[in-house]
Amino acid sequence: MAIETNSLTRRYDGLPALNKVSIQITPGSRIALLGNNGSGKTTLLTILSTLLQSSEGSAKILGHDVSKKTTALQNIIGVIRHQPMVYENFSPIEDLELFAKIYQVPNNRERIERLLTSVEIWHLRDEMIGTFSRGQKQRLMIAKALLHRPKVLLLDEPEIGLDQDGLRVLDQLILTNAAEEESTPITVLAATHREERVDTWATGFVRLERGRVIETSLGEDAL
Amino acid sequence: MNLPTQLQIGGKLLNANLKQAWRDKTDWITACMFAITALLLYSFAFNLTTGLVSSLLPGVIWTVFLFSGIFATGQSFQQDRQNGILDALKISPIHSMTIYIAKTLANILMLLLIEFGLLLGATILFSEPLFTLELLIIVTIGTIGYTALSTLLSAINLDRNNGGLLLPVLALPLLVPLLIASVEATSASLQQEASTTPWILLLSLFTIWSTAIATLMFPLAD
Repeated sequence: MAIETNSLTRRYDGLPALNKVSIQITPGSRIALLGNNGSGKTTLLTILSTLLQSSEGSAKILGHDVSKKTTALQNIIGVIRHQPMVYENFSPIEDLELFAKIYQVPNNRERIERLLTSVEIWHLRDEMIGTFSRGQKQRLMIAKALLHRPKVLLLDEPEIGLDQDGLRVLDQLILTNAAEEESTPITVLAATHREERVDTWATGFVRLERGRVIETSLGEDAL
Repeated sequence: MNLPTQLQIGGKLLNANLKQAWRDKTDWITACMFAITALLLYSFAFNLTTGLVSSLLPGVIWTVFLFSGIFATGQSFQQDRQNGILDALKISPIHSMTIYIAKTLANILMLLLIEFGLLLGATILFSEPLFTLELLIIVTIGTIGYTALSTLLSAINLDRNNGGLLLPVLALPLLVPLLIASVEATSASLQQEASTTPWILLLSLFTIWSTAIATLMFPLAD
C-alpha cells in the first residue's frame, strides 16, 4: 500500500480530531480528501507528513511507519500545507537551492529551472518571495513539493490562491502527474473543498466528518 | 544521513540563517539600539573620575549583553514558524539537532558582532581597556552559553500565546550561574592582579553544560 492507516486517532485535550481512521490507498492512486471544516483532513495530513504524532493507531507510507520519521520516509513524501513553506526574504532560486541541497537532489540547477518553468514563475526567479501574491507562492510550493521527486504527495488544499492558469498548472504537474518523468506515478492524497473539480483529477475519495471516515471510494474507476 | 552530509547541510542552513537575519534586520537593530542606548546611559550615570568604574563595568557589560541577546534571539524561530519554514525543515531529511545548531550558530555570530562593537564603544566611553584578547575570549564563551539556552527557549516559546514574555521568565533563572561566572571572569580580567583561570574554567563548564542540554532537548521542544 502507498498509504495505510489503522485506527488512527488524534485527540486534542481529550477530544478526538481524528477518530479511528482506517484507510488503504494503492500506489498511483489520486485520492481526494473531502469534508467540512474541522472534519480532520488537516490533522490526518499533518500526521502523515510526520509533523504530528497520533494518539492511537498507526500509519504507514510505502511501508514506513510515519511515527518513526526516518530519512527514507522523508525522502519519499512531498507536502503542501495551508501556509507557504518558504523563506519570505529569499528568491525562489535561493529557497529551492537550499532545499535541493538538503534533499541532495542531483543536477539541482536543471531541476529547479525545469520546475520553475513548469509552474510558470521562472521570470520571478530572482524576486523576493515576500513580494509574491498568494497564487505565485502556491505555484512555488508546487515546485518545492516536487523538487526531490517524491513518491507520495500529501496536499492540504493545494488550490488555495490559484487562478484558472494556476489550477491548470496544478492539474498538469501534480494531480494528474502529467509532467513527471518517472515511470511510476505518484500517489496523491489531497484535501480539498473544491468538490466540483474532484472528478477532473481524482481516482477516488475519502470523506471525513467529525474525525471519522463516513464514505470512501478508493477503486481505480471510482469517479 | 551520515555526519559529513549533516555537517554540509548544517553549513548551508547556517548560511541561510545568516542571510535571513541580514535581510530582515528587525530583531538585530532592536538589540543594537537597546545596547547602544543602555551603554550611553550608563556612561553618563557613572562618575568616571572616581576610579570605581572598573568594578561596576562587568555587571554593566553583561546586563547589556544579556538583554540585547534576549531581544535578538527571543524570536529566533518565530519567523521560521510563521513562514512555514520550520515545518519544511522538519519534514525534510535533516536532523532536528542540525536545525538547532545552525540557528544557534547564526545567533552567536550575530551577537558576537554586536558585542565586540559594544566593547569597542565601551572602551572609549569608560576609558577602560575592554577590547583585550582575554575579555574577547570570556565574552565569546559566555555568549555561546547563553545563546544556546535562549535559542532553545525561543523554540519552546513558539506555540505559546504569551508572545515573547515567557522567554525572559524562563531564561533568566536558568542563566544565573552562567552570568555569575561571566561577571566574575570579566571582573578578574579587569582587575589585573586576580587570576581569571578558575572563572574561565567555570564559565566554560556552564557553557558546555547549557549547550549540550539545549542541543539534546531541542528535538523535544515542539
